[in-house]
Amino acid sequence: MFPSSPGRKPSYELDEDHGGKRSIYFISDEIHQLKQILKKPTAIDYLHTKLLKNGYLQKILKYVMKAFLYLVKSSDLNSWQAFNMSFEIMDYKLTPKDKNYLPLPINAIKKSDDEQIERMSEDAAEGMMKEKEMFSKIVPLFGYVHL
Amino acid sequence: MAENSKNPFIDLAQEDKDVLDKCALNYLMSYYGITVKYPNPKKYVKEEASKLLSSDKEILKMISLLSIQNNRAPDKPIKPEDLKKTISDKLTTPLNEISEQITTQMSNIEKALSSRALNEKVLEKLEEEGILKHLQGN
Repeated sequence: MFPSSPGRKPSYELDEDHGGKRSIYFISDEIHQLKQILKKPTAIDYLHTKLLKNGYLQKILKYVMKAFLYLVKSSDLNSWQAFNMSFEIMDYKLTPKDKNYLPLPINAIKKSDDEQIERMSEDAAEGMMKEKEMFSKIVPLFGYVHL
Repeated sequence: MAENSKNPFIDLAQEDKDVLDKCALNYLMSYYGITVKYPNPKKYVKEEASKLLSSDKEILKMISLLSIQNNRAPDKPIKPEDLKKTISDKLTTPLNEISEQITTQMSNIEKALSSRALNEKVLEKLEEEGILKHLQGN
């Protein structure tokens, strides 16, 4: 069967069983521990306060937002993928109205100059600092790295 | 946040705080590492981020990480075949179909997702990064 033929089986159904001992994986102990701690009611607040107090949260968010905006500006594929992955991370399902509206901010970002991007990233970082729900979705994902 | 203003983090043991401090430190180290190399985010996008987003391998890794993060039973073993199905579903049934280009890219990643690709591009990398541990098999 050709990979692109209609009715192609999904990739997870295509592999043959070659026998041998089956591999299994577990989430590492450190990540598991972090996941458990993040379930506690004040864990996100603790982390948020920690980064907010030393002033790094604003700096990190501004850098991330600036990179995001330049990414949107860089190419069509990047701009759609940047939004797509952001929605996936945030587990955010767009309404049909949101979906129709999305090209507007994308086009506005594409037309922005460096000065406007500087201002937009600063405003976005300020707003995001107060959004603990958003913070709570980003933290587990990126907190895993280099733990 | 808890209402005890003297100790607002009363539910956290010192050991929990140590783990969270380490997590905060990870953020700072990542931020420091990137900003030393690329003080201007525009250059970071040009040199790295745009390549990451157009790389099927990196998208696959990100989707896998999201699937692992959303795993509701972290004590249970992750079987490669189950993870592959979860990733496959995520790639073919995204949360939002926002553009045809992205739908095509995701569908192509799914078509190329063999067990071998999952092992080499995802599981081995996540094991190297200390996110997963491999318990049996070869």
